[in-house]
Amino acid sequence: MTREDERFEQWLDEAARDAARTSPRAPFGFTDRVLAQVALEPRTAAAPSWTRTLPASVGSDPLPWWTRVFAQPACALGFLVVGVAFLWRGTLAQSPEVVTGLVSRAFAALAPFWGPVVEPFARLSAMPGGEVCVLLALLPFAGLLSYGCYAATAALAHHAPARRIGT
Amino acid sequence: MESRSDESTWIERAREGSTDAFRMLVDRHRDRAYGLALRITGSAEEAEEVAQDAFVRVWRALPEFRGEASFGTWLHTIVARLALDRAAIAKTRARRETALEAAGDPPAEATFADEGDPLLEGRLGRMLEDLSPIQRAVVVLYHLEDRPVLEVATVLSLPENTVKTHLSHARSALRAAWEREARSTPEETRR
Repeated sequence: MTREDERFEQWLDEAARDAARTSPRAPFGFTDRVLAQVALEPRTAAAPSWTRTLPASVGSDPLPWWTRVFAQPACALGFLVVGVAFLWRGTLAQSPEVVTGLVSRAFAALAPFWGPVVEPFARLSAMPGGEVCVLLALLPFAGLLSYGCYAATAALAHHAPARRIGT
Repeated sequence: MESRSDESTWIERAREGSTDAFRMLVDRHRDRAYGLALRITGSAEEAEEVAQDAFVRVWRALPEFRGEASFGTWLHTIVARLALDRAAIAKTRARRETALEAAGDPPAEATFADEGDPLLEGRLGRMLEDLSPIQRAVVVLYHLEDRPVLEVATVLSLPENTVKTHLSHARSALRAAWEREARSTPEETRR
């Protein structure tokens, strides 16, 4: 670095410091004018807190949160696991009686707790081809459940107190 | 003295629709938002519009604010984007007017600070006027606001290397202007 370079750097530092000190101030009544505009703005409801960890890169904000959540890696992983399970046990997907049996057994187990909720699904699953419809209807919940698990784990990790080393 | 936790509370309450909490946020951030807009657009009138528009957008988008960046960085990202858009529109308009008036009266200098607003004091302010809006934004954020390159890149939504390139060009332009002035008034430069 030459002497000229040093002088320029020194001048730039000092000039920037001076300029930062004399930072412009917002005009009088600025806040009131902003609030007057804000009063005319409609507000949409906030998304549930567990979706706030969605990265900005995933989906665009105009889309509702329940659409964007399916683009999450955790959801994709959930679908992948379900897909692999079906591939691994290929006969599950191919033999309707096995699927129907599984779905019926699941509904029978849940009936005492959520009777009114599972009843329509149980009826639907008893219809020809109904079990596939039920499975498709339940699939998004696999994604949501995966993301819920991820969000809960991330929240636990984020709020965990830092461990001291060497004390 | 208001702390960062106060700000988190205001953000949370503003998210739920409290205009009182939002007022506190505006009060805290208005000067820096306005200052950034003013330094990029070069017009007090445009800067106020940009800063106001930015706050209204923030209010609209608050329910989706996830707190990945600080509130200030998020706000400044919006301000910088709006201000750069305004500066680009003003430049295009000035170019068109210049072309139209080419045969007639001498064209008005529709450049930075054409309203004579006191923007940046001193020689640095004058020199900044000759930079492009994006170079000004980079210099203001990096040198005046003392932000690291990565944060400047975040605020301007540009890749880090692009910011470094703009910064390098801006510094070269400032250096050339500084040398020109040093040659004409050497005793002032040595101060």
